[in-house]
Amino acid sequence: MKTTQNMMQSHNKKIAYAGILISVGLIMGYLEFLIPLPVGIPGVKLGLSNIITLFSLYNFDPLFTFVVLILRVLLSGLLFGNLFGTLYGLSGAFISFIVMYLVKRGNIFSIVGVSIMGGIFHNIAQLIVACILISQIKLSIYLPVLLLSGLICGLAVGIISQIIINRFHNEKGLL
Amino acid sequence: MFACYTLYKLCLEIDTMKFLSRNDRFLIIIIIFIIIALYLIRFCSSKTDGTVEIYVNNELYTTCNINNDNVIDIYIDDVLVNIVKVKNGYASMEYASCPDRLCVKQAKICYSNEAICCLPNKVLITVKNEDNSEYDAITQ
Repeated sequence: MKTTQNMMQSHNKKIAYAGILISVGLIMGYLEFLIPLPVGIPGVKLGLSNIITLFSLYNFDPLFTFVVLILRVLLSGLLFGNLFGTLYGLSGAFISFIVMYLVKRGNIFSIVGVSIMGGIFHNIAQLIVACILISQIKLSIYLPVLLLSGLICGLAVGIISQIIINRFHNEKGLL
Repeated sequence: MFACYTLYKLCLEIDTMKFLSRNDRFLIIIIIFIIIALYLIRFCSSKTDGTVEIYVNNELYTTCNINNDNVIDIYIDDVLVNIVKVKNGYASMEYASCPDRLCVKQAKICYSNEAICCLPNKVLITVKNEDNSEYDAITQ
C-alpha cells in the first residue's frame, strides 16, 4: 500500500496547485451542467468534481483539500447556481469530505472504494438536508435511486482518478 | 497517429493496474443488496385508496381523495406557485414557479409514503394510507 507521498510541499507549489485544482473543478461543474442526466430527481449528477477532491486528498494534506473543496463549492455556487443549490452542495461536500478522509486514513479501500463512499455519502447528506428543510421523512423514498447513482458515478469517478493519481505517482518529475 | 499511440500506451497502463481490491468488491455487493432491499420495501406499501395531502412550509394546506380527479392550485401570499393534478389514481405536479422545474419532471405517485417535493417553494405532496392515519393535520 503506497504511503502518502509529498505531504510537505513547498508553500508556493501549494498555492499554484490550489489555483489549478479549483479552476479545473469549476470546469467540471460546467461540464456537469452541460450534460444533465435525464432522471427527474434533484441531486443526481455526475460527480466529476470529485476527481479533483480525490487528487488533492491523495497528494496533499487534508486541510489543503478541505480549503480547496470549500472554495470550489462556493465559487461554483456563485457562478452556476441559486442559493438553495449552493446550500445542498456545501452540505454534501462537507460530509463527503469527512467520510472520504476517514476512509482513506483507515486504509480499508483503494481509491475507487474511497470515491464510492464519498459519492454515496454526498447524496445521503443532500437528502438529509432536504428532509430537515421540509421536516418530513417521507422524502426517504428517493434513497434507493440516490444510492444507485452514487454508486455508479462513484465507480466511474474512482476509476478515472485512479488512472490519474497512479500516473502522477509513477512518473518522476510531475508534482 | 500520435493520438493512437498515446491511447495504446494508456490501455497498456490501465491493464497493469489493479482496480478493485477485495474490500471494494465487498462494499459494492453490500450496497447493491441495500438498494434491492429498499426497492422491495417501497413496492410493498400498497397502492392505496388513500388521501393526497399537500403541505406548504410544513403546514397542511389541503387534502383530497386520490380517486377524485382534481386540479389544485397552490398559492403562497396570493402568488400561484404550484399546480397539482390528481387523475386516474395518480398525483403529479403540473406547474411550478421554481427555476429548475425538477418537481414537474418527477414521476407520478400512487403508493403510500411516496412524495413529490418542490424544494424552493417548500411544497410537498404525499399519499397517505387510510388505515394508519393517526393525525388529522400536522401543523407547526
